[in-house]
Amino acid sequence: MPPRPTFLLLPVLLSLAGAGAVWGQNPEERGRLGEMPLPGGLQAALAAIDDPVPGDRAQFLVELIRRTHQRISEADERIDPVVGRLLAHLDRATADGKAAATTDTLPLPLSADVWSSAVFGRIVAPERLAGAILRSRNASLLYAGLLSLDDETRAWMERQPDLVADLALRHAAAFLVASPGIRLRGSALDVPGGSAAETAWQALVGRRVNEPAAFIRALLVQREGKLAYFFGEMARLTAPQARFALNLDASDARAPVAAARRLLAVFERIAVDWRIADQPLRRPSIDPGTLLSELRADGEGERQVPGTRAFWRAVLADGWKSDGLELAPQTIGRRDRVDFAWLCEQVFNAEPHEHQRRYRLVLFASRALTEPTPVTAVDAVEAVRAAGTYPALVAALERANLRDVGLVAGAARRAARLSRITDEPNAVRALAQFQGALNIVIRAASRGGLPPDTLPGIVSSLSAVEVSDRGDYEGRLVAWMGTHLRSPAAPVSSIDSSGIPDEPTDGMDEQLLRLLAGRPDDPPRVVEWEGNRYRVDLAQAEQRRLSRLIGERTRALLASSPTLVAIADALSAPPAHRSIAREADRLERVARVAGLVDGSGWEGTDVPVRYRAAADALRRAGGGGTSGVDRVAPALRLLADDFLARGLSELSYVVALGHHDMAWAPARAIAGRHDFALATPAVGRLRPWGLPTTGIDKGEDWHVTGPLLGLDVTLAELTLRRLSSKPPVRKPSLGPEDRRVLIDGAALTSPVALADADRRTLVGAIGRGRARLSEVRTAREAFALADAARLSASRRSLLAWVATHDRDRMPVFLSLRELLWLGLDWQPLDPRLDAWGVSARPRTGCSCLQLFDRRQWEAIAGRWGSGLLASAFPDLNLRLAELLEDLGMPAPLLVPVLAAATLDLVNSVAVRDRDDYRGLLEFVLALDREQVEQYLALLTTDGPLVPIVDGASGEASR
Amino acid sequence: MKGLHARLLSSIVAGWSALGAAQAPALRITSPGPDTLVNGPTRLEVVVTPDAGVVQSVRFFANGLLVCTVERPPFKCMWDAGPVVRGHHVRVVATLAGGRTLRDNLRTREPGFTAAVQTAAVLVQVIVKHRGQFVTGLTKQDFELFEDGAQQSIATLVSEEVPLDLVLAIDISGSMESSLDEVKTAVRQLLSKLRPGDATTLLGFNDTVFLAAERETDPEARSAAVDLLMSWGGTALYDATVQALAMVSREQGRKGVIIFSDGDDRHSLTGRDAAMARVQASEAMLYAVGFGAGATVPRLRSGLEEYARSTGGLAFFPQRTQELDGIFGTIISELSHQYVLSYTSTNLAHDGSWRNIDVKVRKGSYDIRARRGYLAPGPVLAGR
Repeated sequence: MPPRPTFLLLPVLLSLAGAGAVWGQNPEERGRLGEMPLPGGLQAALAAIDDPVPGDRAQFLVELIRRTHQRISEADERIDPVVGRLLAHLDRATADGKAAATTDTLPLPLSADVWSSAVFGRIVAPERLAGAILRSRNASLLYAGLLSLDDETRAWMERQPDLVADLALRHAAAFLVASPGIRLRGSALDVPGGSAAETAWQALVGRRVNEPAAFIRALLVQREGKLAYFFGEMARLTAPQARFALNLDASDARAPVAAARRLLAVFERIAVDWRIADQPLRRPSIDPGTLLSELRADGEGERQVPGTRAFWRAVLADGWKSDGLELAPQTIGRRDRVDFAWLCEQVFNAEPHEHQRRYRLVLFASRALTEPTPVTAVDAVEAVRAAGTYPALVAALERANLRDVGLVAGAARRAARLSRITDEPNAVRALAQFQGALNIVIRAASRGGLPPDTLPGIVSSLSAVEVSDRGDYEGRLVAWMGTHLRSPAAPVSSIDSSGIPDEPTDGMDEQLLRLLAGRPDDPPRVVEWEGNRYRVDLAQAEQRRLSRLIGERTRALLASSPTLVAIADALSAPPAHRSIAREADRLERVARVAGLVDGSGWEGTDVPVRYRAAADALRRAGGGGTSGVDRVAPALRLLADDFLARGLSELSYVVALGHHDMAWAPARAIAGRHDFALATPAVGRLRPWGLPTTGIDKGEDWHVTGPLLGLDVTLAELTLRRLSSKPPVRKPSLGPEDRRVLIDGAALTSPVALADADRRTLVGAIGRGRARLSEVRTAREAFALADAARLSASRRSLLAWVATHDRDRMPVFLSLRELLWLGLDWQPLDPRLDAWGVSARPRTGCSCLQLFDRRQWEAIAGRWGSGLLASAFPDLNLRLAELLEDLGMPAPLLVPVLAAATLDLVNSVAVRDRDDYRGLLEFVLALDREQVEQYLALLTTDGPLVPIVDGASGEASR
Repeated sequence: MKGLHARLLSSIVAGWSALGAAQAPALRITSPGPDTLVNGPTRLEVVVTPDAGVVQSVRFFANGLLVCTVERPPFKCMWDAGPVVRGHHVRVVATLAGGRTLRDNLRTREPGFTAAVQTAAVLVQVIVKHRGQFVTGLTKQDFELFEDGAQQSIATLVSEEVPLDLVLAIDISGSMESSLDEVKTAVRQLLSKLRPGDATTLLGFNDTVFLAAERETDPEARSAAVDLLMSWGGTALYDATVQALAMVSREQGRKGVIIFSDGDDRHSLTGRDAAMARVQASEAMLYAVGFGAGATVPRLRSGLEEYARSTGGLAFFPQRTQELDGIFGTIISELSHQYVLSYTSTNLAHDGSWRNIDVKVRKGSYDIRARRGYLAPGPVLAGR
């Protein structure tokens, strides 16, 4: 049973407080972090707890506290096993007298005297202070909370032993939650939102800001800590964000109080199941604070929430059920401003399962919409609704940077039409054609196979291709493919004047492969590495990969589909202009190549039967019985649809299956298992538009369920490359959601978006950030730098401590992301640079990359199981950018290098808890040139590094 | 001691530095040569000049993948370049005391065409028992072999004196957490029963397949490979099966595959039927050990039984890990008494068809287990 704080001796001990301290802060720098000894030193402590991450004295204790108290507290306060091992080690080291020999110290907020007198109620020797803090849950939480205060506030706290004692005894958890917002300026608290927000906070807390101790007590004690949560989260916002949240610019002076009350109610609703006293390090995965942080801002930092209240009522009214619009465009467009509290009520006052959907609708609107007008209102409502109803569709479009509301609404209307097809085989056929075609278009654009400026037109025209009343494209999408997806490099000889091959060839298949592989550089780029010369050819490598995954035996389904349409057209011509025998012969040749004659590859479908019926009818007609010929043409158009659907499905899998060496089954076989889940109860026809998932159903093989859209992201793990087939030396410790997000990012990275000039910008900024960091000598300079990098209050304190106590750790204290922002100073980020970022999907719902803006990562800490931590970690990409620049390698090589580095990261990184940002960072900081060279070596066999051989002999150069 | 070692190393480095003016350290790949056509087992070798004394490690990469790490001379190791003759990128990095690295790399010759080495011979592993006892000492004249009813001429017979090529695939998914230590102990026991010269390939699989050891004959290295196994992740049994079978030597000789799994397959790209087809095409005898759900869920159990039966192997379903010692002992005993027959089929058609195999012993009444058949090669197609 660990000792609990006791206060029986308090009066006596308080008298000792002024006796002067060897340990603790320097009396001349009241409030500044002091130090306390770590008996036995840091390395021995790390060894005792088997911590594989490089040691960091500044963060050692707070990291251990975080690691220990992420779990729900036990009623009997059993010591965590890791802490238990450390305490045993510290006890031994202290008893052995090693403490005297060590020079290692740890940061200590407040003086050792205050810890003794106010927290522990007994004199604790300095060398036993770290152990005493760890032994007590409340003292640990208090320690972590105190780090978040600034010097002035800590100096004031030093003079408030009663308050400190009260915090330690009763409110340690709530104090930790509220601590980012507790700031004393002079004799009053500086609350989130500043002086303009004082009235609002005073109304909620019931105390005045110039009664700081009373205010803090009241803040922490109310509503089981939920007010402290609201207060702490508001403190993480920028000044413009806080102004917007609390409606501080309203002309009505009562508005901020009303806004604060309503927001508090929202926070309480979200956190209804969260017992802060038990889990102070946890946070709900989303809340108004995260929403506000993700809203697009204008040049002045003002948040942008487009639309009026009427607009949002229209968007949210039964949005997932209804295709109709309840409100007239004029109403939607009427001026009727949305304030943040109202918006939060629309998002979070719904049933809990609706929170995420509505949250993402708002963020999509923030990204995609300007202010809707009566003219654009209907499209705007449909587009925003689509983000909730057809998330895979909108994700695919956003990935290609297609956010125009007219375009999105058009695609959503097509999705709605396809979702109304009642016959399941027809629905599958139509869905596979539309989604498969869209997949190809988006992938081709991401590889440079299609110019970006052609995309809006191509996608709009795809959405406009009609289906029949029965839900069949009847060859129209085949024709669309021929018109819109022809590679400029297609061999003309294989195509007749109408663009349709006379007989089955690889024509369209080959053309699509070229589109998907992208354009080779012209002129080709050549690099020298380790004494050899290589041509950098991502297009050739991709085409080779795709060809190998397709395999040797192609059924030429895509190339054959126009032939089937051509046969149907020929049969529809007047009898004098058609040769039934010729068409029958063409049909048989198509069928033989496609496996229809023996039915192989078409098991479980009625396609061979329908082919046989059509072929028999043609044969009879060829024998003189022409009566059935007119019915054959529609049947052949359906067969063309079948071919296109199957061909595009298989091609979507080919694209997604990663390196051919790791694809244990043919793409065709895996595509054959795809399940659009049309029969899923309740969700009904919308499941094919949700995000794809993998798994097995009862007794079946592994397969993907849902849409074809986004398949390459869902299967992204297959694209990762291994340097070694050996098992990892340590069991992977990264959580599955964070792992997923990092892998998604590797799949979303597009070579055409990666430019050498942008990389130079990034690397240059990181270098400048590093230079600024190296110039920091004093605590004052450290504070200025921390403010420039927008570090959290806690890291701000620790940076100053590192600058003055542990200078060797200075170069690695900031993440690469923080160095980047530091180097950019306050310049806005060019959106192109986001191509070097990480998946933003968990934060925003967008399948796009972001560098995670000037925000503290602590703002997304505690939101476990959401992948948010990884979505704030672009550091791997940034480090690879630096190293590839150093090696003189072209920027697009990040894509294949990332495929190997990401696997190393997710399998080998040592993360010690669910918020271990530093664990991730240390892995990245250890990446060096040699490691990247190993990744590059992977690229020398099948490309994209193609060896240049000497002379005509074909002998490889050495 | 450590300090002394460091001082010794630094003095060597210093001495070398002094020599450096005369001859800078260099690394050169001596095998394979740059003009060599490479396929199959291939020796990778380097020399470090002027002296290898300060080399801490040499890492060999082939096509970017780490093949091996060698820490003392001679700096060489074997690598399987696969059946297809094609160009490969061989890269070697030597790390010297003090952290400096030396590198060399080469590209082996491209043949200018795609060539695969294929053997036309069909291999059949056979176990012969009489009243539960292994029958030894049989010659090829004692066997009769029929393919689709047509008698075949047995070309060769390999008996128990030939070293064994064993592939062992162990499920290391998260559900194995509580039992993996005992399983590893049993695996070590199994490996200790192998004879000198027997080679072991050890795979650990969860939703990925890891290669802990490849054709390892050194008992210490095999044991170290077992240490690498840790439990985590899901289960991809079918993918592991396909890969385990792909790791079986293509050379004639005794071969066995042991697959140990405790769970359902939730991650394999390979389908159940495709995996079964690959098992049926295998020349190795497959032994399946189902544990936990693998022993109790009827669908999983029957799948493992069918795996084993089609190759002439056996399936086991222990209730407790303590039974594994006995089971592995039985398997090793079986593999030690294998006969391997080879023949060239009289049916020369490359039609991809299934062909039944029936093995008999001319005299006496015996229990005979052998693969049930094989898939003939398919038609040769024009490549893309």
